[in-house]
Amino acid sequence: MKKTALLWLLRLGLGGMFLAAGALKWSDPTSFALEIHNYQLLPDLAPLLAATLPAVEIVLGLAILVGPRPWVRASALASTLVLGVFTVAVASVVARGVNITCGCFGEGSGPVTMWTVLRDVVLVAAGVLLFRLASPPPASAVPAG
Amino acid sequence: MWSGLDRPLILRSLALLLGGAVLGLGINAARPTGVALTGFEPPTACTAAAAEEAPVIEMTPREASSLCGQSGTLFADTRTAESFEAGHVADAIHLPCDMTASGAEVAMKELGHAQTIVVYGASTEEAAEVAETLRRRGLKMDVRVLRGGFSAWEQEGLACASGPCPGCAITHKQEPSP
Repeated sequence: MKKTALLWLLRLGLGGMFLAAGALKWSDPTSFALEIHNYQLLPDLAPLLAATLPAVEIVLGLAILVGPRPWVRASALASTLVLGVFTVAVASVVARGVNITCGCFGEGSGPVTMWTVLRDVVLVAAGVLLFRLASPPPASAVPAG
Repeated sequence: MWSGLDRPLILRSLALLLGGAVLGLGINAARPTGVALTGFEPPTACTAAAAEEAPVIEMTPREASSLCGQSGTLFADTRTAESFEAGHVADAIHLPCDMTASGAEVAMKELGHAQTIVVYGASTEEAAEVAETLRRRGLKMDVRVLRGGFSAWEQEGLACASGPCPGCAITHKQEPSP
């Protein structure tokens, strides 16, 4: 029972966050490209990422929220990978002392700080937990016919 | 985590990522406000010297207005004295491109108290030139450029133009009496 509640809590939290993040970036892809460019990591890929990331986030958010169990698990895996990349990016910005806005939730996301890194690490952990909770029950738990 | 990975799971994950990416590319191509995938350039770093540094960060008017309440933030207006007198972001200092050397020194002392400077002009490019100049002078504060210039600020109807802006009131040049 507790597992089910935690699973739904994670689905609502992570799925809602991905939906919100994608939707907030949606309106102005050029500004988002500039924000990605400011990370100074892969500046040539900034427009491509700006065009694709919001849709990827929305798709992942929807799959986590309303998808059947196998797709929830798959979206948890994909979300964890995406969040891992985000974590590396913001950690790199903090380590290099680059003062930029995060762009994580569109305009007005605030600067990238250690708190941003910490938040992303927590989200990665939440993704891993969701992946584990969404696992199919072990075969032994199924009563033999 | 990786112990439960199987082929269908990985394929579903890839389908979600690739499906989202293809969807995003398709919609980006269809919408008029889509980002240009080729030839995208940040509107700053106009000189070789500047390109060696990190590009000056551009801010939308709404992003810039969120800085107004923060201490240590200063707005600098690069437009002509006439434009500045006609209207400007509250408590902005006047920092035109054609400022005299002595005037620039006075302005630099004022700027030295700020932690964040938002430079704006009649256009983004005009402000970017001044912002790059500030950085080349070795200023350590965070220099940003207001995207779209003062007209974009006005169009957004942001309060700083006519209302209080306590965070911006660090230094203030007296305006000439009309």
